[in-house]
Amino acid sequence: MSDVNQLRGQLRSIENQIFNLRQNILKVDDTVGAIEQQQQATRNDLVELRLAFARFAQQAERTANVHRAETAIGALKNDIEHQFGHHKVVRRTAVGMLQSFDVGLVSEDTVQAVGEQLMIQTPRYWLAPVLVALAAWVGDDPDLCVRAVEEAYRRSPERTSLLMTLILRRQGRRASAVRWLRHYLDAQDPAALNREFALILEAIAHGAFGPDALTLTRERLESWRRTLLADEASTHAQLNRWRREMETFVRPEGLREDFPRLGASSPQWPQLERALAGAEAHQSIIDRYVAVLNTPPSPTDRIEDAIDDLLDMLVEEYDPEELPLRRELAAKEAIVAADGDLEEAARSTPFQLAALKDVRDYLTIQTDSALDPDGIGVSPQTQRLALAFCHDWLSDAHSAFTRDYRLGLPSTVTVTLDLRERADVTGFKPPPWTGSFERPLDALERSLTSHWTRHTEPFLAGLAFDWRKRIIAPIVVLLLVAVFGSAVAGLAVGLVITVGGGVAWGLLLRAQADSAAEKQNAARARLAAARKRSLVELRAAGAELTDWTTRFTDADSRESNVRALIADLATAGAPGSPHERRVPGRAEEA
Amino acid sequence: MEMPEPATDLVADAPASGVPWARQPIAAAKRSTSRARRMVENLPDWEPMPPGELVVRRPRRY
Repeated sequence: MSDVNQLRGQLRSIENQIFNLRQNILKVDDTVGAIEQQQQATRNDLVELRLAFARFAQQAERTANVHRAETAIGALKNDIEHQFGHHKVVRRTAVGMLQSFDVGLVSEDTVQAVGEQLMIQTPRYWLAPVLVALAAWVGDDPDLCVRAVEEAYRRSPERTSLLMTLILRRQGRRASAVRWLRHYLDAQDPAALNREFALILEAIAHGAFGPDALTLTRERLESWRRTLLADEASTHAQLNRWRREMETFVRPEGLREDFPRLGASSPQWPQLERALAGAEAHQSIIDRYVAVLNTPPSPTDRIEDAIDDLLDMLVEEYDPEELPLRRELAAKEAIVAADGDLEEAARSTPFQLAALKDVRDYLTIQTDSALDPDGIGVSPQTQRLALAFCHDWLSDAHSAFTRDYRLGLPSTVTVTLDLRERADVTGFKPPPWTGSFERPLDALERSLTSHWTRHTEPFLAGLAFDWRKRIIAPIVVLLLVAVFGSAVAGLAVGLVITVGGGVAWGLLLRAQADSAAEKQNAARARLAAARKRSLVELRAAGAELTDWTTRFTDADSRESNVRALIADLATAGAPGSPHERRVPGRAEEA
Repeated sequence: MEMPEPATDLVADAPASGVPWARQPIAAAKRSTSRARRMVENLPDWEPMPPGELVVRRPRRY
């Protein structure tokens, strides 16, 4: 008994120890939880500290950027003032001159402000001698004018010619303007044309320089075209663009809905769809380019504004020598404006400075103008002019496009019907039926019917209840039952069991036979219906092929209309425009 | 005549991506001239010609 008590005491002691241990574990658990919380808080503090430090570092970097930029701005402004201070005077004088011409009053002060010393102070700036030439013109000093023009032309034939073209046109001296325009065009590199050229082309297309300018420009453009076409890569690039343009008129969407049976049953449907979509592109091409030909000329105000904008730009733009410093200055000023954020500063670089190198070759400009006038920013009139020059590419691309879709036509159109799918009868797995529309429709129907019959009859026969096979097993079993039943329980009992079993088995077989007959009848009905449907589908596919042929023939016949239209485009852009009889300034003066 | 400082930051605010290539994006407020588009009276009958071309003298029109 005492041993038991001792054991109980020890057990209680162990229980107490376990309890204490559990308490300790709970305490440790609480402590760990508290440590975790502290760790999380510390981690949050660290993250916050890191972010704060990053912000501080970024701000410090931006502040340093601003300081560096401000220092550079000061130095750059000094450099610009030191090297190109006179350019500023020239530009200011040019603006004054332009304003005087604009209001029709060129004062003596204006003329006197432009002396030959302006040319000497800016030995490479083209604008200074141009101003001298204009002042000499106003002051009726042809000798000085000639000298100044020669000097200006030596410094920059392109800028001088352009400014003279625009100013003489504004003053109604159109014949002289066209002579200067010839020099401007001669100074252009057809492989690297800038935005001004596009604008001049736009103005010429609107007749702003008169019919002589249009003729002259056509000659020059044709000459450029011949030069650039010598480069096979450029030619291929443009041809490919026109080829892709042709593809944009191909719209196969919705054709499948127009020919549902043919689309579902003919393996050649993809080719038929592609060919029809290609043929129907002709009408879309006609609609598109007839609309271009019929678009009325855009209002001339926009062109006049653009020409004035160009004049403004010419007298205010920086000289190429000055430009690197100006570009650097603008970049530094953008950094200050962006509070030291270099990425933001790079995004907000002044457009005029960033876009100077944005040049395109003549072929690309013409193709852009013809294909995407809104995207490049030209009017329908310029688009027509561009189309006239691109019509060879358009013609080649259209011919290749037509040839390709015609070559894609299938040599024969077949129809394939999946009988199994149409019948949807378990176990019925006949091969698909295929027929060619080269054969008459009634022959195809007979072939399809024959195919059905060939595969449905064996299948239906297989569904019939085979008494001969199914009766053997019951007879054998019943005979065995009769023999063994009579031996064990007596003849009478054996016979009763055998007869009873026979009757039951017979009833079961009978039910199975009825069920098989029922299934066979159902399958026969479904197969008959499927056959009927497949015949309907075959006739429908045939009818749709007839419709497709009619529609294709009609659409394809418009290819000649497109060719005629492209020939018309060759002379597009030539008709007169509202500008042709317009003399700038006369209306306002009156 | 008062000659203003040219607007050297003509299109500083114009984003390059928003302007079609063939357009000159000059803001109307920063134009140098008033777009009066008048013709100067009493200009000589001849015009400045490109180098190497003759100066054409036309009879004065009254």
